[in-house]
Amino acid sequence: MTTGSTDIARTRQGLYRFFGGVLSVPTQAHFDLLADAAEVLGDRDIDNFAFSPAWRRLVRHLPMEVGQSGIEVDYVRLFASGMSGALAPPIESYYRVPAKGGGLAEYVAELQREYSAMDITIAGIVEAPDHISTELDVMAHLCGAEADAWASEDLGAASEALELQGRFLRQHLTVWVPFFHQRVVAANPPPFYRDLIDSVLGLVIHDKDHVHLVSDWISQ
Amino acid sequence: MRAAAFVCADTPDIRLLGAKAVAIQGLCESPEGLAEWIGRQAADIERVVLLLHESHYDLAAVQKALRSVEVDSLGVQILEVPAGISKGDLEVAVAGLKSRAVAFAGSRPEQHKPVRSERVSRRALFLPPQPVYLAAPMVDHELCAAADGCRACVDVCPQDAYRWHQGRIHFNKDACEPCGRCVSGCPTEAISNPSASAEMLSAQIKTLIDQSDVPVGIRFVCSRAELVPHTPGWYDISVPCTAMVPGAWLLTTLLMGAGSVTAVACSEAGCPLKLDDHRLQALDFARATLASASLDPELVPSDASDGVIGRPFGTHDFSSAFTHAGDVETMLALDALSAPMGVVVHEGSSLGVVSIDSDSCTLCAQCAQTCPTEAIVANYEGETVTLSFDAASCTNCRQCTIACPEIDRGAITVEGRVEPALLRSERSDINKGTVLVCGSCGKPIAPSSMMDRIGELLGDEFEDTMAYLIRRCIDCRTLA
Repeated sequence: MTTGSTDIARTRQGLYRFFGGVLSVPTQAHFDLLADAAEVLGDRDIDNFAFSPAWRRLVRHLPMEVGQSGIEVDYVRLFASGMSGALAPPIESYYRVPAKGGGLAEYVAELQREYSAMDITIAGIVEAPDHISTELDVMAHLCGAEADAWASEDLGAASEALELQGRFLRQHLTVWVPFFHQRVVAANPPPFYRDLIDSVLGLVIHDKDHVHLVSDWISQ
Repeated sequence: MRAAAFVCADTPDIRLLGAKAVAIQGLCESPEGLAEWIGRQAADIERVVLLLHESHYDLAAVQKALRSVEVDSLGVQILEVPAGISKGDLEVAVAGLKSRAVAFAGSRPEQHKPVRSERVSRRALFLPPQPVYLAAPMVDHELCAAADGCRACVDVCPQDAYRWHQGRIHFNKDACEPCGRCVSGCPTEAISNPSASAEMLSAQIKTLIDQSDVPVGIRFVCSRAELVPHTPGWYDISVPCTAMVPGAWLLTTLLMGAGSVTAVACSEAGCPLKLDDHRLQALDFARATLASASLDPELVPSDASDGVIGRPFGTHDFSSAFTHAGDVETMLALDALSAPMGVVVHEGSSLGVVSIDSDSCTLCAQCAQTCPTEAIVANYEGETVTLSFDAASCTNCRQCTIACPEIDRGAITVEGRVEPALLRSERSDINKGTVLVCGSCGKPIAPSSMMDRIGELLGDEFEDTMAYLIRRCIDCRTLA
């Protein structure tokens, strides 16, 4: 039981890490690594996951010559703050603070407290705590914890990791990523970013369902 | 959009299909062969029809194989080939499913609902469950009228999967057992199920009727149903649950050119979701409507039976079958077939008629504010307020009765009612009254009947306050 579960959790960990990376500032070295990662993940039975058609469309773009593809320009236009602001800011507080009220700093501080409660330190991470890359890395970390738990046949720890994943997906990623997705689509992105954002939306929505299903399976 | 049909090579009577489907060895047991074939020979195929053995296939594996070739697995149409089906019937059924597959508009991640596969394999004992994905409904918040107070989906959902909160509908996919009641019950058509859209049902039925040389019977069946024995000349239309099919849809199907139509129970044990009353109500409504038009109610039998006699109404082209507009079109077409069609009063009607009791209605216009389809509209002009009603826009959702603060006094009633003359007529006034205006600035304050009612509720003790409130608008009122 635990071998299969370890593999699945490791694959999900890899996927979150991959998407966290691909939504960071694009550099050639970075994208070369991502192309390698996509190949490794491609051998891991991604079709078990419902979002795999979107994933398959995305990885067809890799490997990519960053300079020639103009992807840095698209990245800045879509996600980075320019003179008139980003078209689709990839940060949670942008979408949540207006609805929830309070200040941006307050929101981010609260998120950091959540990370601390999960024993996650974000000191080495370049992006803001509520940047999509950071949040996807947080999920990668939690999936890693789940995989370790399965590997050591610690069902309690696996359950706990799944509980944290489920909560983080329910309270954060699945709440704001659909709005982020809408903004990216409305900005008429190039095919790479369109396929990327479809994959990310698919990943977080389907993974919330997956975590629910596996938690349910364990509890029975 | 390219669609293709595949048949498991082990299916009995496979030769019946001729060149209409590609035979894949072992398709039911190991659908990887399907993915290999598509990948090798036809990577542009986007929609798939599969003809498989009755209940002997692994749906989770089928869906996985389709995902591996980038085919949206919620759009796959599966026919469990019934024993004894004739070559002609099978070819027509495949053509219908192909049309339905092509009309599939794609799905969003939110519309995939994973459920544990019931299939037990040795592999399943050692791995987390490989889920089967069902198509779940999704709310288009741009079309949803929750901000005005509509909560029709909350009312019709038998699993409490919907919640209205601060003018927005929240959907809990985990609680949903897809039955489609919300899809057909949403007055603004804001809820969709990607595997049973109006376009897909319409395309399949139209093809079945067009492709067959003889009149066909159409049988709506629940996607959870065990395989219903094949009846020659009858074709199945799979829906999430037959409780989603309103009676008007049955009539629409007849007008499209079917010889007979019905919606059948899942099994002898009845609907597992306990929704069979809705199916029976729909059948009853359809029969009552046919009777009122002096047409044969037996065109809607309780079950598929032999002998589809004819094509009673010819073929009618619908611009939007299986929508509210299609329901109205259906009733008007039936009315045109019989002179004149009587009035049908029935709880199962997806058309309604609103009546106002002018003695108890205060003209507060909450009904108009909430009405998701603008069947009721409040119009303020000078010192007059008018409530008007358009029967062709009313879906019998009864949200107005929930919003009405004077419902206990019978201020508003909605009747499930089909009255062709009303459907054809212009919007008409259903209540009218005067509006009090501010003695200081001349702006409207509120309908006088509403202020009268407030005074009545407050009693004599507040007579002076009321006397003041009816003379000054909110901007001109000052604290004493």
